[in-house]
Formats: sequence, structure tokens, C-alpha cells
Amino acid sequence: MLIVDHVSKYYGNFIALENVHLQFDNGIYGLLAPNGAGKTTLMKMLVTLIFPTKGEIRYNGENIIHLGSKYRELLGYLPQQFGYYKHYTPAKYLLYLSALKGISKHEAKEKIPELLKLVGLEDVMHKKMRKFSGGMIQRVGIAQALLNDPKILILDEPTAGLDPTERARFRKLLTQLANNRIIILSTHIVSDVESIANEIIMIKDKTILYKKPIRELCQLLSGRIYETAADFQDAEIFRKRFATISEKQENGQMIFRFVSDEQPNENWKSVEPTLEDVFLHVYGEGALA
Amino acid sequence: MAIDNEKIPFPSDKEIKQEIQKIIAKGMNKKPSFWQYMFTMYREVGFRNVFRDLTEIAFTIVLTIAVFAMFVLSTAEYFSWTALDVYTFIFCFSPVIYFVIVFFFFICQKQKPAFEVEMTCKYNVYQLAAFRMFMFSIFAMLANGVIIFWLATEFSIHFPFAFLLSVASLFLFAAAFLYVLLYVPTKSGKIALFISWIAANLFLSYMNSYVYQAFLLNVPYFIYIIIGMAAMYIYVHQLKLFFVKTNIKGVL
Ligand SMILES: Nc1ncnc2c1ncn2[C@@H]1O[C@H](COP(=O)(O)OP(=O)(O)O)[C@@H](O)[C@H]1O
Ligand SMILES: [Mg+2]
Repeated sequence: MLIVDHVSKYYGNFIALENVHLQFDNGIYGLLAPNGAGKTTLMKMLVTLIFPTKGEIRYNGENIIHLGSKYRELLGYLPQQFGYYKHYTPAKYLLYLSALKGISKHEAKEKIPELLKLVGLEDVMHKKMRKFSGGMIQRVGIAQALLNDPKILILDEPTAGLDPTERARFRKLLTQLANNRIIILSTHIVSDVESIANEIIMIKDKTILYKKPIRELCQLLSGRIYETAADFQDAEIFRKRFATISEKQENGQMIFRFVSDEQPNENWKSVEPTLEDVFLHVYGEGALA
Repeated sequence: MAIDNEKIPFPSDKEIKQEIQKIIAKGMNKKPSFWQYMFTMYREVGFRNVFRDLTEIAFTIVLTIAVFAMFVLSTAEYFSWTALDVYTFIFCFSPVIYFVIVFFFFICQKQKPAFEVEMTCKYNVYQLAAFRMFMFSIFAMLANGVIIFWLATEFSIHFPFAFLLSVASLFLFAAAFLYVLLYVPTKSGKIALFISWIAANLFLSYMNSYVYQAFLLNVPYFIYIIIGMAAMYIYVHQLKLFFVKTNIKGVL
């Protein structure tokens, strides 16, 4: 069990996170917040790249900084900017990282092709990474994070650069991995975590606002989400009169959603809240929370 | 947690498991020795991965030695070097090869694109650095030996004494360098140490060459052995800090 115990992180005078308290058991956690909220900061502390200014992070009761290499041995990490050597092939790069992770050459040679197949890179495993697309590099990064069969998998915006098919495959991969490890992934895209996360963590105003299963998050807005259709020409009026949280086009009409404690009029119908509603409500322009 | 006087708090299964794990971890928590760690690391990581920039390192060394040789040969023509001068030279310049390789290595580390991933591996940059520095110091010692052996053919110096002098000087410097690495966060601090080492030695030898050389030469063999051993001990002790600490402020 991993515990973030009242952790604050300051960069000089700048407060990036304040009094963050979290507990992780096995399962998938989606760290969902807009850019600049402090997701990367939290993840870097979880992988001991930076240290908390206050508080500590413990794994099975011991401070992860003191555990040192014993903790890192259990760790898989994909940084937000995954660095690589252009003149390396994925196979060679993974072999190098296996050595740093203390995995025997023999074991690594078996594991690497498996992993590269898992992320769909088996055809290019002996090609230099110089010409790889962003999505391919990202998939090398995901494979790399799984090398040591980590008990704690930390993925910082893992779906950045992936196309929709790759995203779907990635989500499937995570659910396969989830049952005996802690997986924490950050994203600012609701659909990345909507179908797979056991719990969603939202950061707001430098601290944790929610850590709840999706169902419970949606219940927060239960009975308060309304939807209505409007013609394009009326759209501007709607935007002015109501604090809409989202709008989309459907069959040549605009569909507006917004949050209200009571039904404004009969044309608005009450709908089930989605995770996206919660996200937009919390972080949108008219955010009340 | 709410305080409830009616209930006797009993740990949940999860808490019991956790506590047991904690106790086991504490019991097993014997820290491996420096040498064990080095050996395990050599076995698990392998030389190839520890010295990935081998060609660049070799290049640096060849260049350093070339500059050295030029320097010695050119000055030899202008001044008639006495054996004493050569000993001074050896004491002063023995750490140069070590400094150049290690400094070069740290510059390379910082520019590595994969720094973040490598820092979170079981063996991170600091452990690799310790391993490499240790190997570098051994290498520098041997390289110095070769240079001194060659000097001994050119000048009338006593090889074992000169070598001992060089080893003592190398490890004294290496220990001081590690100290700066660990506690002085700026890059200029590291260069400053190197420059002041050379400057201090040269200054002492030129300003007061008689006393300086008398000091260098009159110190008996065994004192040099003790100094050398002590410096090595401090050096290894400080290298250990690289294994213990996860991240050291300012090293990179
Ligand atoms: N090294 C740093 N020095 C100063 N400020 C930083 C540093 N890293 C991040 N920040 C600031 O901390 C805040 C949180 O950043 P970050 O953790 O990267 O957010 P996210 O990953 O959610 O986009 C941002 O305002 C960012 O500018
Ligand atoms: Mg980020």
C-alpha cells in the first residue's frame, strides 16, 4: 500500500501542491486535472525524482526515499516527456534499461519481444527510433515501464500522441495489468480513464478535491444536469443566459448541458451526469467548486 | 478517525498484513556492504552498460595523455628537470586524468535525454556514477603508473616512490572532489577545487620549493602508504553515500 501523507511541494516560493493526502491499493487510479494542476509534480514525487517539501510518501509503512533502490525495483515509470536515444532501436534501448533495472540478460531477451508485441511495435523492434512517430515513441515508453513487471506503475499522460485505436488498445492493456498492482495514470482527457479507472483523483487549487469511484463522482451531480436542444441561431442566447457546461452538435441542432439545482423550464430535461459533466463542472469557466 | 469508546479497535486483515510486512522488511533490512553492492551491480548491470560511452572516454584519455606528454617533453627542453621537479610534477598532476574523465562523465549525464527514466530504475544515475568513479579511479591509478614508468626512463626517479606519491595524491584529490560533489552544488565549485589543487601545489613548489620538496621527500614511505590508504578509505566511504542516497542535491 502506498500512502501520500500530507505532502506539500514548493518550487522556491511557488506552491505546486499543498497538503495532499492519498492512499493507493491495487487498482487503476486516474489522476484527472487540467494542465498546470500539479499532476506531474505529484507523480515525480511518487517516483522519487523530486522530494516533498513537507510530509512523506510511504510504501508498506516505509518512506520511499529511504527504501531507495528497493522501492525503485518495484517501479515502472513513463515520464510526460519520454526521453530516448535516437540512434537506438527499441530492442536495444529496452535491453539497456533492463540492465539498469537489474533484470538478467537472459530474462530481458525473452521479455522484450513480448512487450514490444504487446504495444504493437514487433515489426520495428530492430529499427532505429530516429524516424519513429510520437505515438510509436510513446509506446516504447509504455513497454519500458512494464519491463520489470512493476508493482507500482506510474504513467504521466501516457495517451499523449496515441491515435484512437492505440488509445483503446492501451486501455485494454491496463485493465489486463490491473489486478495485482497499483496503476496511476494522469490525463486531462476524460475518456482515457472513464471506462477503466477504479477511482478518479481530481486536483484543484493545489490539493486533492476528490478521490472517488466514477459512480460516486457522478452522484455528486445527480439530478442537477439538464439537457436541451436549440437551433443554431438561438445558441448565443443560451450561452448568455445559462451557465452551460458543454455543448455539442447533433442532427443539425445544438445540444446544451448545464448544472442547476432546479429545472428552469419544461424544455430542459434531467439527464444522468457523466464524468465529463463533473470534470467540466469542476474545472469549467463557470466552476463553482 | 473518530474516537469511539465503546469499541475496542482491532486491526483489519489489511492492517495486520501490512504490519507483518513491515516487521519482515525491518528484519531483512541488512544493508549490503560497499563491495557486495559493487559486485552485485557489476553482475546485474555489466561493464557494457556501465561504460556506454567507452569510445568517448577512451578519446578523452588519449587526448589527456597526449597533452601531458607534450607538456613534459616541451618543458624538458627548456628546463633541466631534476628528479625533485618530477616528483613535484607527479604529485601535482596525478589527479588530472581522473578529474577529466569524471567531469566529462557528469557533463554527459546531465545531457542525457533519458535522465528521468534512468533515475527511476533500480540502479540509477548515482549508483552508476559511484561504480564508474570507482573504476575511473582504478584506471587513473594505472594510467598514472604507466606515465610514471615512462618518466622513470627519462629522469632518474625512483619508480615505487613516485608511484606511491601518485596514488596518495590521486586519492586525496578524489576524496576532496567527492566531498565537493556531495556538498557544493555548483559546477564552478568542482572546477574551482581542481584549479586550486593545481595552483596550491604549484604555488607551494615555486614560492618555497625547498621546503615543499623537502616535505615531499622527507616524509617517509610508510607515511605515504598511510596517507594513501586513508585517502582511499575516505574516498570509498564517500562513494557509499551515492548508494544510500536516492538523490543528491546538486550533483548533476
Ligand atoms: N521545476 C519547477 N519549477 C517551478 N515551477 C514548476 C516546476 N515544475 C512545475 N512547476 C509549476 O507547478 C505547477 C504544476 O505543474 P505540473 O505538476 O507540471 O502540472 P501538470 O502536470 O498537472 O500539468 C505549474 O504551475 C508549473 O508551472
Ligand atoms: Mg504534467
